[in-house]
Amino acid sequence: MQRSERLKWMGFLLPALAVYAVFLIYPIVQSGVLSFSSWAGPGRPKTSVGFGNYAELLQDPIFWLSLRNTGALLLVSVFLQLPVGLGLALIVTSARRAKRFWRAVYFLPTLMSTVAVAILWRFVYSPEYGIINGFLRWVGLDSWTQGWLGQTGTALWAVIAANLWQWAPFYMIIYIAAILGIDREIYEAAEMDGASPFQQFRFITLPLLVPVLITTSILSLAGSIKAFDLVYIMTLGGPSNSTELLATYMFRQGFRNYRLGYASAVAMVMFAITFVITVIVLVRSNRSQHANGGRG
Amino acid sequence: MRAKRLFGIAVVGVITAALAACGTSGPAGETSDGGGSATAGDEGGSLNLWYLSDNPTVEGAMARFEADNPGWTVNLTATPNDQYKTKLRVGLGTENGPDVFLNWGGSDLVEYNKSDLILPLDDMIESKNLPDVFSAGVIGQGKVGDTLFALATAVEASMVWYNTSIFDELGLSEPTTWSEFLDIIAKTKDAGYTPIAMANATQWPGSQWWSELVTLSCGPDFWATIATDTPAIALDDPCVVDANQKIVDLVNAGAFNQGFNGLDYDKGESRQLFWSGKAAMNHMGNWTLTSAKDEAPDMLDTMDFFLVPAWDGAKGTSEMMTGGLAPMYSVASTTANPEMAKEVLWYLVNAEAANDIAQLGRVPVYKDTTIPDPLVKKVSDAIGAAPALAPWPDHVLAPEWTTEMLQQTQNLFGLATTPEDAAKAMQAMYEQVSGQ
Repeated sequence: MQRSERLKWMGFLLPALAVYAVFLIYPIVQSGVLSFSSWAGPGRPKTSVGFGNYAELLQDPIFWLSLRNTGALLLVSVFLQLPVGLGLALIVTSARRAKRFWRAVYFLPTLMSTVAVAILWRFVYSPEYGIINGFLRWVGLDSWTQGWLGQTGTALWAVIAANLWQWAPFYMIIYIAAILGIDREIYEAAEMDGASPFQQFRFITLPLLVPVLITTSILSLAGSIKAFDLVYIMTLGGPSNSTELLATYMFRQGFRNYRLGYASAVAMVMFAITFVITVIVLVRSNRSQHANGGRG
Repeated sequence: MRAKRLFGIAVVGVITAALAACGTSGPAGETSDGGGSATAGDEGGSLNLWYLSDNPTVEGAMARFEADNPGWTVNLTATPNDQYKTKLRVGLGTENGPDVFLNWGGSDLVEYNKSDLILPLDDMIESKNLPDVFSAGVIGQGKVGDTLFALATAVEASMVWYNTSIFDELGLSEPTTWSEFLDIIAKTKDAGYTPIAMANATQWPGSQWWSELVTLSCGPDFWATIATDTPAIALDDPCVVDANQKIVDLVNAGAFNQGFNGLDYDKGESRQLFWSGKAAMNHMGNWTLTSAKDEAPDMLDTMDFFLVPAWDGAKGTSEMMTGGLAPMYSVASTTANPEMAKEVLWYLVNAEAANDIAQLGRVPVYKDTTIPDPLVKKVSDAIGAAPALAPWPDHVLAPEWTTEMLQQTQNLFGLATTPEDAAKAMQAMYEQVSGQ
């Protein structure tokens, strides 16, 4: 009986595993192999270069720049986007009226396709017709107007702001679900003990949200390392590589310079970073959950 | 329990079967498709044509092909500019790729030929009497070595388009020297206009400026020999640094609109400024006329062009232009029907096609095509009179050099580098690429 049960599980798992293996594991292995070669695309000869691509990567200033930009995006995502999402969740769950309405309004950006978001923000930042410069001119601050996406000093932050706008609500929804899942009785008990709203948040909501915070951190970390579409549509990684991320640089090397081996090396670096960070976060969170379990 | 288990197995079976079906149906469908056109022979079949979506005359040309060749159909795939290059890169040479496709000649043809991705078209020289209808120069542009691989439809070049009503209002006339040009920039700026509309996020609009300024600065030998083993002028030559300095001078003179390095030409963000009368000038190819017809037909009455003027000490003359034959069409080596594919190609470049292209406001290369529009005629005459036509710089050398050149010109326009450093970086990449 036990054995046949196990067979049945495996039978059910097999299709998903097959899809996973064919479309995820196999391509990762394949780009790993490709990262040790020089290849210009289908129909072109492939030559092995050993660690040549990786050695070149270490000396490539644009690779380091894109790593730094990805790091900036990552930090903003974790330390600004998640708190903003949490803040929105708290505001929406504590709203006295029309909770659903506000939830829907704040969630809208995440529902929009990235292409639409990117084009929308291109309009917002448009130097001549955009709402930001338009507002600045209207209040007489003409000298504050900028070519937001066209200057190396402002482009990265402009793109990161758009990314925050798009994704903070996604985390808001997750936090709302988690907050609503917390037993009301705990709050009632705390209130009776005289806990202020802030104390309730600090000592009840936040600790009980930890597992969700970890999950969202992993999503946010992986998301920012893979980030591509919004930036590519808004700036193509420019001007002068100022918004180049690992993923856009990989695309540039692969599909502009046709250096698929070199691009694969960038991809492997991205994979390694994501993998290591995810493992660290998971291991740490498992440990802390065990610790909590022991206490509980 | 037993019934449940059977149900479970049945579900797994169905899913596996469905997956298996997914796995095989794709390739099976493709082979039957390809096989169909291959065995169809005289009865007909289908061919895939990939081209850029800004070529509205292609549909008419292919309708004529289909009418003259009953049973044959052409599947049209039109793609916008920057996506097209990526799509072609991935698709060409595969079973799902095109039979006939648009390209830009130059270094692309060399590379396609090296990888056996294109078919020689030499037999067309005789069968279609090409020397009677195309100049030797035009045919030569489609050759790699002595073999013909591509045929061109039209010639393009860039110039400075200007709004005649703004020029009239400010009492300006077309400049013949660089200092007059700078003077116009200063005067239009003082009058509250953006002197020159620019959108350089995709980097090639800036590269056209660069190519043109380098031609003026270094003379025709620069571009004529750059793709050879012994370039006459190095990329870090003082004349290139001079050309780079001219870009910096333009930016410092406030010649362009704010944030132009973040604006996208393909989304019309520079044309918009020119059409709306906010910008007095627009440095762009002669396809600006075609764009005007679609986007701002009124503008056709109030626009004209001049060529970027040379300066004292420049080795080139003001009549020189930057441009090239485009679009060109080639036949992919993977085609199952080479003869019909060549026929498709012929319908894309023949006299009727040239006529349609002329109506559109472009300058066809097919001999003796009547050009009805006086402004298009003026473009055609300017190109005919140009002592040298510098190539679009993004189709001359290897892709890696192109990326570097595009990056460095954007840096120059963004004042993120110096004229000397940009020249050095381009030369360094040139040495790296040619050393490989």
